[in-house]
Amino acid sequence: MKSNTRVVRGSWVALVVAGSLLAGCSAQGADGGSARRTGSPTHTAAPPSGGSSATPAFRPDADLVPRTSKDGQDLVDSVVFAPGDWGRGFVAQDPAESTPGTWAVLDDNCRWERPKLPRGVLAGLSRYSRLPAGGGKGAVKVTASATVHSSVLGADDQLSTTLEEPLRCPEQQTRADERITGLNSLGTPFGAREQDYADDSVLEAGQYVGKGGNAQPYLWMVARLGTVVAAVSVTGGKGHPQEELQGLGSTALGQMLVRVRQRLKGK
Amino acid sequence: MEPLRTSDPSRLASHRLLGRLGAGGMGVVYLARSAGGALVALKVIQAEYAEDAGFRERFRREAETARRMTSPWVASLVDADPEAAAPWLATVFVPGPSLGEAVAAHGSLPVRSVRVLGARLAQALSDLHAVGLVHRDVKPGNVLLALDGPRLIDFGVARDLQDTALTSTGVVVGTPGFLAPEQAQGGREVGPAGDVFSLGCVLAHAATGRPPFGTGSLDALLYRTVHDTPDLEGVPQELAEVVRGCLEKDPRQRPTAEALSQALADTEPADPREILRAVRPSARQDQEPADEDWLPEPLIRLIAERSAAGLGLPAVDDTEVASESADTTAADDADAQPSGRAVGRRRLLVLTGGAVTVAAGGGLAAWAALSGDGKGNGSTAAPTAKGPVHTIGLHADLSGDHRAVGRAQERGLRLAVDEFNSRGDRPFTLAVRTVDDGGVPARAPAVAKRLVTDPSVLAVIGPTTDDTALASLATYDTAALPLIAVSPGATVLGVTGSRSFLHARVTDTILPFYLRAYLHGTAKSHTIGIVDDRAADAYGWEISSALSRMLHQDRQPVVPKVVSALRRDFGPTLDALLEGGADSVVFAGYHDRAALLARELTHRHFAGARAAAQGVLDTRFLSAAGEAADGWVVVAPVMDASVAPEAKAFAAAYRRRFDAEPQRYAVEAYDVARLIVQTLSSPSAGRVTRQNLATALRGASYKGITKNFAFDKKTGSLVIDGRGVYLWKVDGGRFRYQGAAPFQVST
Repeated sequence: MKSNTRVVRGSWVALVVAGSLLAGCSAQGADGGSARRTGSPTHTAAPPSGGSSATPAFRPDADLVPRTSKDGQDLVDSVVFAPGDWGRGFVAQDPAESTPGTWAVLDDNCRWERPKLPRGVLAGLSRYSRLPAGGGKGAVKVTASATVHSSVLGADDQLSTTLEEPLRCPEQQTRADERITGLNSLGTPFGAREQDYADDSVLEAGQYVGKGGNAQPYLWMVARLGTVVAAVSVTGGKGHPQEELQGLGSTALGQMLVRVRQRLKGK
Repeated sequence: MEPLRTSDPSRLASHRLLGRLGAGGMGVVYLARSAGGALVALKVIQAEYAEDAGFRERFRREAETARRMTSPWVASLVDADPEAAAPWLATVFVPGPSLGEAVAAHGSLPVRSVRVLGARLAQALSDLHAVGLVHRDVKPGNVLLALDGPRLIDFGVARDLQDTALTSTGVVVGTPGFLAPEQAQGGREVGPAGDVFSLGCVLAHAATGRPPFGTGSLDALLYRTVHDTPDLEGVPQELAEVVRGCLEKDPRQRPTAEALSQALADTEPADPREILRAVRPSARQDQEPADEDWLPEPLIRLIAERSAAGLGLPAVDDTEVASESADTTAADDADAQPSGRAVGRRRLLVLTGGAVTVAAGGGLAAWAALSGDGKGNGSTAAPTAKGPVHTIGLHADLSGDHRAVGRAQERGLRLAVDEFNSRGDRPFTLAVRTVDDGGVPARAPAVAKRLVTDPSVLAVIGPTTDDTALASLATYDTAALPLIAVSPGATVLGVTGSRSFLHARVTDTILPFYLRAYLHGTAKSHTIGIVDDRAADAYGWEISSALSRMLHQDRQPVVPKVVSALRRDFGPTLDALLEGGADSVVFAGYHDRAALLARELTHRHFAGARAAAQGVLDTRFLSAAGEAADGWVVVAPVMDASVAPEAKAFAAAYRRRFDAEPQRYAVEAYDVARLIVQTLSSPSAGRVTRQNLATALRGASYKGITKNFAFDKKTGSLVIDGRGVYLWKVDGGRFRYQGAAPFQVST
């Protein structure tokens, strides 16, 4: 994968964002091209299973896969985008980082919390950045995060949980006076809908409603490589077109995945 | 065929016996005509076997399994009565010579014929093995040749286990020289790998004219089978390695039948059945690739002679003929054209160069006899055609995982076309052309291309699955060829902007309305649990996300769980559902993993309702879940035409035509075919072009058996009116039809 590849392709992001569903668009209608679908020839023995048990996108060097919290912490530190990585003009939010040893969980009342990491999760880190308002455009808020699990199954469960969240809570409270609504999401395992960059991925789109009560587009992109889950969120202000925000998130996630690959391949 | 003996009955069950095809240790095989007029091979078991309770039980079980299995290359089971005093079973009659006779008469087959033969017989074995049957006696005498391919006969059912093994007295009843070493050594029951070994012998024999372990005394043959390397001299190099793999002494070293079929099919030419099924303008015949016939010319002639001999056989009883000819199909052409009567019972086989054209002037039963499997029936051929010939294409999975659905759609289409062609006043004649993508998305665009490039094809029904539909949508759209999907449910099919697509069923996101109505209404559930299986990707997600959204909007409690495709244990999922207070479960996934959940629910004594959509409406769910399947309810855009009152006339016509109960999705395809016919016949289609027809279809409205058809003119999606979705409930190990599914909870 080229380092500047946008991981998520526009045509089906648009479908999720528009809420016009769900099953992959592929490039069919949009490009007129025949979609490259990786239904293997032996596919006939089972129902179409696009499950993430399919061929992995990436085989890490087993010696480099984090086994301890410290290894995990080193990895997330080096992978997760800091303000400068996002581009010119991005600065840290306050706080700039999540509390070490915690991760984000959506509780039974649909409120986001950061409890301690459970067993099976070695490390987690989120960094919060923003592009301040200026030049007639509103601010853009971004989050980058990574979680390292001790098993692939644990990491895959994290993506299942991510997909479960909008089913459980179509409206989610991030802070006391901020919430996310109108969520649509779609999980896409490696090989389905031209997904060729991660073992599994989830795209979520909705609106972010802040203090002022005005809604802004919100995107949450998640991808798994082996035991590592990387994610970015983008919340756009006035004057930033949807495509720009998608491109921003997609590029950032793609580059974080490149960092994961490089670390686990020992380059 | 030998005539009947005085000791033979003239009728058995509803069959009229016509002659003896053979006799063996187990009983006699007759040629017979079923009540519906089809020719069948009727095997009647000797009373002494019937007295053995173990044998009868195995017979019953295997007949039940065989009934569920369909394979294009196996002479399929038509009917059986394991409970009769003399148990019997009827399979489709294939008039062709056996492979053994063909090789004896004309020598070894050319390499391409062997390859096609091997790929299809391997497919036949794979289909048998998939349902747990083992043939146990694959040999040249059990392979019959038809114009469109081989047929494996005399499969597993009704053969004594000892029949082909070395018995305690050292007698081999089967066919030495084609037995696997493990069979030749006796004692153990032979498994699927034994069939593969035997097939290897059959292929070597077909390629060289000699069995690979020679001929001679029984002992020498058995010894060589167990100890010697096979003699493959003369087997063409490109086949030798595959055949050698089949002949490994260690069963575990042999390929599976499926793998063998793949290996041989890689370079197999297109299904030669196409040429029989399609009616083409004669001007185009010279463009046919010369290799579509799979056998050398002398063998085609031999098969043709055999088939023609079948014509002299007595027809069904006169009274039955009279009652049938009123509403059967192609036969009526003869009535409409007095001169046609003369050829009425005679079939015309025109052999032109490499290509074979079959002109069926006779009745359906005769035509079915010729094609051998009772399903490769073309519509009336060009010589009796009236007006222009328009072709309706069927793009289906006819050989892969969803072949049961694809084949049912083929039959529904053929029935509608035959009925139309039987009208004396028809303004045009319809033909059918089928293409098979095997359910493999990567193959779908290429097979779509074959229909697209046939200018007589004006509309296409299919494909069978979401993935194949998505993969071929662009090909049809580019050609503006109307594509009408009967079984795929993906919503995305309607939002890619295709101008020629029509969705003849509600999408999967609509099914949750029916699921909710059933669970809140009939099942009195308060809190619905949803299990989204990620192994089912977008299909599961459409259902789970639409259902949970609907319940949230109605402020109804819901407990959704998403399960990783890597998990096979549904225990933790169930814990979470119960903890959330779910008193019913919707499974958003396919039949195989539904069975895992079903077993877990039963294991935990879960008392609530279990429901799913059409992905679970598959007999493999029943076999995998066993008793745990009981009580599951499936909501699906599929009617059971064999019992639904609205489909009574259809079912009767279907039974007459195919001598079988209507299978799922047959009546749905029949409806769509009639929609096409109506639209083609109406002036609104204008000058008949694909594009005009696409527009006319999207503007059409048609009251079908299964639903009302009307479409969104912009997207081609079905206008939802609450009809067209049905309930099925598992009861006693079967899916039982419950009629139309309610759309809303009745208040």
